[in-house]
This record gives sequence, C-alpha cells and structure tokens, in this order.
Amino acid sequence: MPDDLYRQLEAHATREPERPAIRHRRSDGGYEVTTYGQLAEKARRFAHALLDGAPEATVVPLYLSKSADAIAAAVGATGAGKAFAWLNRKLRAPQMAAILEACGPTVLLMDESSLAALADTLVTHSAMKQVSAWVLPAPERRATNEAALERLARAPLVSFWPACPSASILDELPELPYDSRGPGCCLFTSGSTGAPKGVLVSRSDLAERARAEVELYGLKGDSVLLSILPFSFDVGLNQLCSAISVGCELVLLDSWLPADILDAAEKCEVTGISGVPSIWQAMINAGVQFDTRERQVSLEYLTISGGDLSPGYLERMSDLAGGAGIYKTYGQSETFRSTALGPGEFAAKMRSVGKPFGGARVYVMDEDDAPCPPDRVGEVLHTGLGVMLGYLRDDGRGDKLIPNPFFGPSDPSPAAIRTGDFGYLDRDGYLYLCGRQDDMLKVAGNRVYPRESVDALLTFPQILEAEVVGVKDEQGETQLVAFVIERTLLMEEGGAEAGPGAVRRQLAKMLPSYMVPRKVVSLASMPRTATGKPERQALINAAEEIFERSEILQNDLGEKP
Amino acid sequence: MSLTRDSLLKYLEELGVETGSLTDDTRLFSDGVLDSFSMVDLIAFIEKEAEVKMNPGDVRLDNLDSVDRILNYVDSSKTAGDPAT
Repeated sequence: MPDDLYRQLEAHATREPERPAIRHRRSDGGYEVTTYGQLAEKARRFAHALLDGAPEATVVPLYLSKSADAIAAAVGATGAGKAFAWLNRKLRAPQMAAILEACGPTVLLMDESSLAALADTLVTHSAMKQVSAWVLPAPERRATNEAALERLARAPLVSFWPACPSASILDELPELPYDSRGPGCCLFTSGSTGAPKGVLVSRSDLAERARAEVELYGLKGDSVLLSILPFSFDVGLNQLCSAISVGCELVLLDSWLPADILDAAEKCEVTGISGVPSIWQAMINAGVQFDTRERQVSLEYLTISGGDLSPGYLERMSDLAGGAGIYKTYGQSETFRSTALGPGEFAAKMRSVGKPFGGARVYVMDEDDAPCPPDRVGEVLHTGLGVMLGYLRDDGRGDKLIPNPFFGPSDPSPAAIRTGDFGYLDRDGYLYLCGRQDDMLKVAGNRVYPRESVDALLTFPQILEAEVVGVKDEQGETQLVAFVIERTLLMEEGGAEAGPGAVRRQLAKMLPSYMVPRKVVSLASMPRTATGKPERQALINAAEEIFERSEILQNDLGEKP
Repeated sequence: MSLTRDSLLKYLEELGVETGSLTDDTRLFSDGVLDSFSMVDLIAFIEKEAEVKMNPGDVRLDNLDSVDRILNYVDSSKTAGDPAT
C-alpha cells in the first residue's frame, strides 16, 4: 500500500472530515480554518489538473506563499505521482529561470501575491515566456495584484486557477504506478554561490522523515503545530509532513515577531514550535517568555534547528521556554536531520547537537576517512534515514553523495553524505559542531573557526548579532572581519565605552590575538539566506571591499591601523 | 535623521523589493513581498532611522505589514514615548 502525503491526507479526511487541518492567521488577526475534508478535496482537484494539464512534468515548482491552497497543491502533486519543489520566495528571475530549466517540462504554480515579483519577467524574459504557469487566487485581491494580473493576461501560457483544465474533477484518482524510491520532493539549496541545486528526496524517505519526527516529538492527532518556517526549508517542510502524517492541526503564521508568536501559541493552543536560532534570539532580546502556567499552557516543546545559538543565548533558552521542553536538531537538505538533543539532556549537553535519531547514523572521519576517536575533530558523515537520492540534473559538481564507507551488517545504508561540517563526538556519543569545512581559517598559522570569535562578540551587551569572516589582505594573509548588529542604545545610558576600537580592546582580553577580528563593522541589517542565517558570501564580498579601501574606512571608524 | 517614505522605500529596495509595484497599503509580510526573516532587520532599521526605541514585545505584524502602517506606527510610538526618560 503506497504511503505518501496524498494517501495520508485522504485517510484522515475519510475518518474525520471535520477535523481542522490548517489554521491560517489572516492579516486582520482572525484565523481561517480548513478541515481535513476540505483540504483533501482541494488536493484532489490539483492532482487531476496536474495529471491532465502537465502529464509530462516530473517536478512541479511551487512559487507560493503559505496557505491551505498551496499545501493542497503540494499534496496534489504527490497524488499525481510528481515531486513538488517548494521554492524560496526570495528567488528572482535569474534563479527562477535556472530552476525551471532544471525542472524540465512542467507547470509553475504561483499565486497572486507572488506573481508581482515575476509578472514582468513572464512577459519579457525569453526563457520564462515559454513556461506554463497557473496562478492561484489570493484570499483578498488588492490593487497591486490587479496591475500585475493585467500584465500577465498577455502571457499566453498563464492560466488562472480554478479555470485550469480538470480543476473541477473530484473523481477518485486513477491507479498510478508507485515507485517508493521515486522522487517525492525537491528542495533547492539557497545557492548563494552559483546556481541553486535541487536536492531530490524519495517518496519513502519523505514519509520516513515525518515518522521519525512524529516519534521524536511524541506527536499525536490532537497536537497543534505552529508553522513559522518556510516550506522551502527542510525543517519547515517536515513539520507540514509530520502534521499530515499524524493528522493533527498546523497553524500558519507569516510573522516572526515575538508578540505574534506568543499570541498565536496562546490563541491556537499550540503544542509545538519548530524554530531557527534567529527567532529565539529575537524573543530573548525582546525580553519575552512563554508563560506555560497561565497563557501558553498547551505548549510542550520548542526546537532549535537550522544552526546553533551562541552559549549565552542557549543558557537563557530555558527561561524563554517556560515549562516547555527544548529540542535541538542538526542536519541539512541533503540529510534531513542527522541528530537531535532532547529536553532531558538539554541542561547537561546544551552545547552539543545530540545523537542520531530515527534511523540515521553519524560518523566523524579524519583526513584518511577513518573514524576519529572521541573528542577528535573531523568531518561529519551521515548515513541511513534522510540520505538524498541525488541532485536534480546533477552535473557532478561538489557532490556530497558517496558510497557508504561503513557499509555492512551494522550499517545497511548503501549511500552516505559528506556533510562538509566539522565536529567531534564526546565520550557519551554526543555530537559537537565546530563549523563548516569552508569556514575553517588559518590565521597566522593557527586554525580558527570564526564561530568562537562570534560567541565572544555576543557576550557584549550592545551586540545583538555578529558574524565573522576571513579575507586575504594585500600580503596574502588571512584577516578576520567582524560584522555586528548593535542594539539601539538611544534611550539607555551610554556609559560603557563604545565603538569598534573598544570592542577590539575588550575582545583582546577574551581571545588569543589571532582570533580577534582586525576590523569590526557595524551594519544596519544582516544579509540573510533563505533560512535566516547570515549570508557569509555577501559578508566576505563586503569585507574584501573594506580591505581594498581600508584607508578610507579606518578614518571612518576612527580606527588606527 | 528621520524615517520618511523615501528612506523606507530605499531600504525595501535593498531587500530586493521592486518598489515600483508597491502601493502604500501592499501587505509586505502577509503577501510574501518580504519574508519573515526580514522582520527583525526591518525593526532595527526603523529604530535607527526614526531614532525611536520600539518595544520588541509590543510590535506586531499589523504594525509592520505595509508602508503606511509602518509610518503610522512610528508616528504613534514617537508621540507616545516620553523624551525625558
């Protein structure tokens, strides 16, 4: 019996059609509820439309805001035997053109709010003009959209949902050949360097990923999950898959503001929230907390995924969480999640990312591909659950997928992923991360992971966020440059010594000299990737520019060379 | 410094928004013109430009969801804030 999102949704809809599936916060503060019965009906329309309107498509790209319709489109694509690819809304025409070419013949799904970014391109861009697109209606049509819609009406290959072929058919789907190892979804990596790469995940693995998460967090039919992460990000997508797998309610919130998160958690009686470090950091900086006794009484757990918090923030997480448990998870698009740290272990091991779970295995390898002894740093290798099928239209560039070097009776996974992350296992088997392979720097002959300098910067009360990159100076020596976001101190007493020079002097008391950034630059905002992480490439470019015109900048910052 | 419609639009352009297609009441976050990741940065920008201290525990999506709403919110926080403290 095939087990995928579409069948799971149908099964829940048959059993309990009135059960709420999606609760979407509208811009007026109210919530719109879609039941399992309604969601399954929507998904069936999409499946029929895709079978008839895009029979040749294997990957269906979704350039959609989060909504019940958008979720139905993804599930419908699964029902039609196709892989869905939820695209990051930050993508613009050039990346879109590259992605659509990689997808092959297909139909692009947009909605009235996402098309404003692309409408001109669809009419003028030579490759994009050839793309068939379906436009889903927005809940409230606005003047902005009208203008874009008018332009789009001139594009010959654009149709408007539900006036698409077969969108009204509600018959049972025809029997389709089912290949559990066929692609179920495609996750495009951020592509900050070069074109985005499509990570293909098999249908069975997608279902297994959800099952592993259901078990890890103890999800049940009456759980209520708050979705604040994008579905183009594996953690956000897996939360959706877990909700449909177990048949619980998913609350969609288009805001990361502490007040909105607290409000949604209370009003919707949320039990679990998957988050990334910048969300929790913002809440801690805002001085707010979950009140699990009086207000967010239903809240059972929070997750820290997609990067780590610095030690100072980790220590304050328990205060933020109130009585809710804290999980940390670690992974990447190519591996799903490799390890997790549970609430029971958080106090003792908060700086680690935990142990493998759900059928994944993790090894730390030295330069000769042999396993490292405990506490020795090496590259993290992932096998088992979550290993991707491969890249879409792979041209073999920087492939992380390798045959499993530890294949055998105790590890039957045929393939492994070289994560490019460096870390070590402690004597209890907990994984600690040091940084990315690409992040490790040699400064004056010393190995430096910029994260250690970042952690030191974040101990300064006026620094909200920090990132450190390395660039080569004129002499070819690596120099560290720190970028910081400072807290607005306007209404507070500015007694402490401030400015880049003071920061460097303070750092020099905490770190060996080679770890003290040569320059400290204050930014108004941090350039970010799709998952909210600082975009290192953009910072490296900025740092290089700074060194090129260092004279001018030293004057600007009042710094002496 | 003060936050003006122009400086706000310029900042939105830096975030990759095609401001030509924006009206003053286009929903920036609910319609996905900006993603939620930009919220914290937007607040930091507003605080610097308008020289106001926003209480991060009080800011809501409704206060930031369009150019108009941002300008109104900044206006009202300026009037509400007591400059003596």
